[in-house]
Amino acid sequence: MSKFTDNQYVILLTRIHYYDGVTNTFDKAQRLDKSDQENLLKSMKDTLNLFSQYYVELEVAGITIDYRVRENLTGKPLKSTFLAPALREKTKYPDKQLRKSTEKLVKFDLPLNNNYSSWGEVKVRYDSLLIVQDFKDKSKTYHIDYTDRNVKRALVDIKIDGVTRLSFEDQFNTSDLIRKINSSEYIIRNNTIILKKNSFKVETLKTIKADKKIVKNFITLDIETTVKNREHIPYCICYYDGEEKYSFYVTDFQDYDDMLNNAISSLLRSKYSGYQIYVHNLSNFDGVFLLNTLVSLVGDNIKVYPIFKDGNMINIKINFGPKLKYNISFRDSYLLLPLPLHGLAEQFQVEHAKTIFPYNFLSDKHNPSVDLNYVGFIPNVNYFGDRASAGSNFSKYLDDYLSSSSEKNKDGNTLSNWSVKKETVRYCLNDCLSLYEVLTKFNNYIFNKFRLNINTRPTLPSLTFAIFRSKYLAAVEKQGYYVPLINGKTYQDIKQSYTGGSTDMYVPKNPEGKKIFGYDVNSLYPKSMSRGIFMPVISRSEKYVTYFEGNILETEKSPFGFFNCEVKTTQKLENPILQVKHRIKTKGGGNVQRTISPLGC
Amino acid sequence: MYFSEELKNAEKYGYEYKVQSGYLFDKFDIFAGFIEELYKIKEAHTPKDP
Repeated sequence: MSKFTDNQYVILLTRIHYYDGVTNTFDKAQRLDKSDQENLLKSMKDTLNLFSQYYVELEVAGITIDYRVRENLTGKPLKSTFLAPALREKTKYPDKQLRKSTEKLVKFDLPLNNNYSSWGEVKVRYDSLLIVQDFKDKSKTYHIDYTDRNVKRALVDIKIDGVTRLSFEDQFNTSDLIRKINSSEYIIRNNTIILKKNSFKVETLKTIKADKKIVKNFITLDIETTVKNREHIPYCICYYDGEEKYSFYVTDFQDYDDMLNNAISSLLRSKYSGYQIYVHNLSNFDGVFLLNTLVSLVGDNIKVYPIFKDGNMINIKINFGPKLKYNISFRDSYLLLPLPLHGLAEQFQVEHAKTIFPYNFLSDKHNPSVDLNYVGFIPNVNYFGDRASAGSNFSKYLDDYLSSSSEKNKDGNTLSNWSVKKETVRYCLNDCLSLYEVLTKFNNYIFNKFRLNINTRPTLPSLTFAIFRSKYLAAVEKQGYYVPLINGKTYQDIKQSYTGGSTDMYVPKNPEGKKIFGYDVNSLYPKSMSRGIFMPVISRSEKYVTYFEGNILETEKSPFGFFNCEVKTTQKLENPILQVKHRIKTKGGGNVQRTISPLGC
Repeated sequence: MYFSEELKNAEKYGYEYKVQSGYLFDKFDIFAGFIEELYKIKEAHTPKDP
């Protein structure tokens, strides 16, 4: 924009894409001129921040910024439509709103009672109408309408020179006077405001629809690596699409880049469009190889959209084909089922159990002469790693190998005809099949139980949340309650009340040899979410959250929410409860945040 | 800023507090059905099951 002339402007439209397919437009298209340059970046950052807090449960898949540079041909200066986000926000911050109303109260110097005839000189008293002229400011009159006298309510207009400047409602059906100005409410007792409230509407968490059909469109993929100078180098890649098995071995290609390129390219077929390709532990180095290859393939017909979170590869989406109309996505199945593959195969009792492999035979640390074309005697059991010695894993491996190997050497001895290539491919494909069977069983289970396919969400927590939203949230709404989506300042405020769990350490001091009891308490999280444990919600009739200033306990017996308060702690308590976040200085001169439970003030 | 229920609990242990401002909500045990069903599934399976 720095190169803009004064006669040029840009039309800008920013859209944010969420992982579950939802797209939101930041705002309507805006017209910006040269003078907006500085504010633009800040504005986008602020808006993004706002959105990310708002859709905190959704993963952001990408942001599209469409812009067009235009010449002003009208001959007249065009006005910029750019406004900072604070000005664009539809919902004003609750405390700002309250302050505004309070300013009005102060500005009009309103008496804090409903004895209206004492506010000035009574000019008119007719039926349900009372008009009072202010004692000091003669241009100011109060028009009080008692139409609803039965419900103990009055509507008051303040007029200056006959023009209404402020309207409010007084309610006096309780011992306190309640004064309502727009969305703000003042509770007045003995001519003093004891509580200010501001209610504001919030968006609520939406239910999601159950899937109609079970989805079987997925592929499992695995990469084997050899270790050279501590560096992992891929030498075999296999995948299984539920019907066909595919394998790629480095000696059949120029180098490993060529092998990976060929393997990935073979996945970019229209028949796989919409498929998820699961790799167990994608976030580990497998993902790095894949990402490198994918980036090298990027061109007019291939685009890559990776999503990372906390060092995990959540999703790598690839759009390909003419007009980029096809897509596949790489996912890390470890984020859905966080157990090693051998554990999963065992627990899901799948047909293809995880087997063992002489990894160390392919590592120059253990075998200085790694040969990817090796054909010879079966590697020693020591090359197979820890799992080989467990139980009868190695003897089972030998049995499997002997039954699968039909080729015998000239001595008729299969054990001296062990081929790295053949066995790697067999092992790698077995992993793919094993993972495929695990995921199929898992998907069948989740679909039959909750009518959702596992491919709708990339991680276990997001899948669990989707299950809650699709099956259980509707029941909550039936009872008339909604889960509010908190954003902006309200989010920042409430977030302060969330601290890490309080932990304690017990050092046993029992005499040596004397046994003690150990207790394992679990399922505390579900317990604290179970029946009778309430969560903050909003009700159907009043879809709003209330911000207040003052001591709410003066007007409500058992208010529910998040309170800013002055706390006086006890002098002594073995396990202090209330925590505060506290910044402390470190020895190095920096400062870090610590959660502490202070006592004794 | 503290959650009201945490303050009510702390009161039992001798904490005193004076509320200055805050946010009010309705309350409902939104996770009850969800947790009960998941717990039933967990109870019906051995630790060896996935």
